[in-house]
Amino acid sequence: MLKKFAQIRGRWIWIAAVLFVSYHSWYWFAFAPKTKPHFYSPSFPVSQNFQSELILLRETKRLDGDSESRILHATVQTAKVLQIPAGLLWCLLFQESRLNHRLGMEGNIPSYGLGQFTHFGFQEINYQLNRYSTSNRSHLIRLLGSDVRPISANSATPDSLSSYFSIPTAVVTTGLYLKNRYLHLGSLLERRGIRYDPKLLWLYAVMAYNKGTRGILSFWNAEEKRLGTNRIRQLVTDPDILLDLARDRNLFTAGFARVWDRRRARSYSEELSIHLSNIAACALNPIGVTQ
Amino acid sequence: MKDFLAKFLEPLKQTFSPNNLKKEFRSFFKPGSHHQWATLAIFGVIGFLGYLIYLATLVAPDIQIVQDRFNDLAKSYEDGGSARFAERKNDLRRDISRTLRANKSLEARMIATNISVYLFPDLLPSENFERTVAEDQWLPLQRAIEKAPGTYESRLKFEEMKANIWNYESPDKRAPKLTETAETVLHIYDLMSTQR
Repeated sequence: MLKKFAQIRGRWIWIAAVLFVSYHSWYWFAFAPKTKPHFYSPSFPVSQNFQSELILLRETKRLDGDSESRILHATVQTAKVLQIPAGLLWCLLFQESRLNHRLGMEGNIPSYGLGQFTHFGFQEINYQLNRYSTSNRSHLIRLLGSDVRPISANSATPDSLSSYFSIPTAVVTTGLYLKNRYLHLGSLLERRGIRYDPKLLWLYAVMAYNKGTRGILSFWNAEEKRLGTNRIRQLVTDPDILLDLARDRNLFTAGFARVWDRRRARSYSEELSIHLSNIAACALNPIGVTQ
Repeated sequence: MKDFLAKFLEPLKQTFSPNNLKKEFRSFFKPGSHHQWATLAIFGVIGFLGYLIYLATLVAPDIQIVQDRFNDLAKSYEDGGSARFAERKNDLRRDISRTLRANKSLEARMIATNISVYLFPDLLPSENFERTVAEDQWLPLQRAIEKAPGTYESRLKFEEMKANIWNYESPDKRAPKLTETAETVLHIYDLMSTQR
């Protein structure tokens, strides 16, 4: 058979094709996404603690039924249009504000509403909306009915669609900002030719939303320096490795320490680990993750 | 003590005096001169000293000097305008480049890296994730401001750069904060973009 093969014309093309397919198969299996379907739970919050907390918020009237259902409705619609896992978006809002859409209305803190938006966050939405995707503006119009920008923390007319204190506006704005973080991180990895699992990248986007993109990139730079580029590939394709970060409060410290003094680096690292474990507990399907 | 030093330095003074050096140089070429090896030694020493001086220009400056030069950039613009600023920025770039290449302490390299992120991203390794962000999100805006400082357009560029840096770096929404490096860079371009 081999003798016959050696006589075939174009046998070198066959050999090259076999090698090509073998290499790519190996690469695919080595770095293929390891998340299962339903990585994000269709119902949320998942963990008992968050469910109990939600019940407590209702019972103590810190969250009324009407606001809660409007937030849920806006979250599902926004998640569908922006292709964000709905549970992730809801859990982010829950984590940031405990679903208090009027938080910060008195002007006593520098962040506002459901997503704890800042002045500079508004600037990105108002003036740089399409930086990471040219579809963002059309999504905004589709979800809110018109281009309601400029959006601001307008406490004088909180129900106006241009006010971040309006529930649909807060949810859509937060979703767009989160999506921008996702697209930004994705583009940085793509430029390096690093494949990633989109489901895991959403978790990094949520971390970047909370602690700034710089924290995530410093962490990636530190890990790459320590263990090479394959480590980055693992961090963005293997959920077990990423979820270990939530358990090790100090794993982010080396990254933050490249930017901040040691004390702040440890503090931010701990906060980020807690944030990640809360989001994971709230939004991830425990069966999908552990199987 | 003075006498002791004078006694110790006298032979060296005589050996390296211009007249003696000329004499040694001329006698080197006389055939059979017993001074040849001594002359070689003298010029060898001069050459070695010259090499040490050259090496010194390659050595990275102390990180405190780098930090001071960075902190003084804004003042250089205030005192001498765009030309002086460009000159000082170039000097700083050279210092940062040497610091990143030299085998300096971790602290020194981190300071140099953080300054590079905001002012000289091309000095960072190509695989550094922050380099891409800097080249996209503030380097073009800085160049535009430097090209036309004090104009309405430069002010718009500054406001965009400020939002980009705050959104990129601040790790705490309840107590927003930037690193000193980021604050210094924003201060520089705030000054430069302010209309007069």
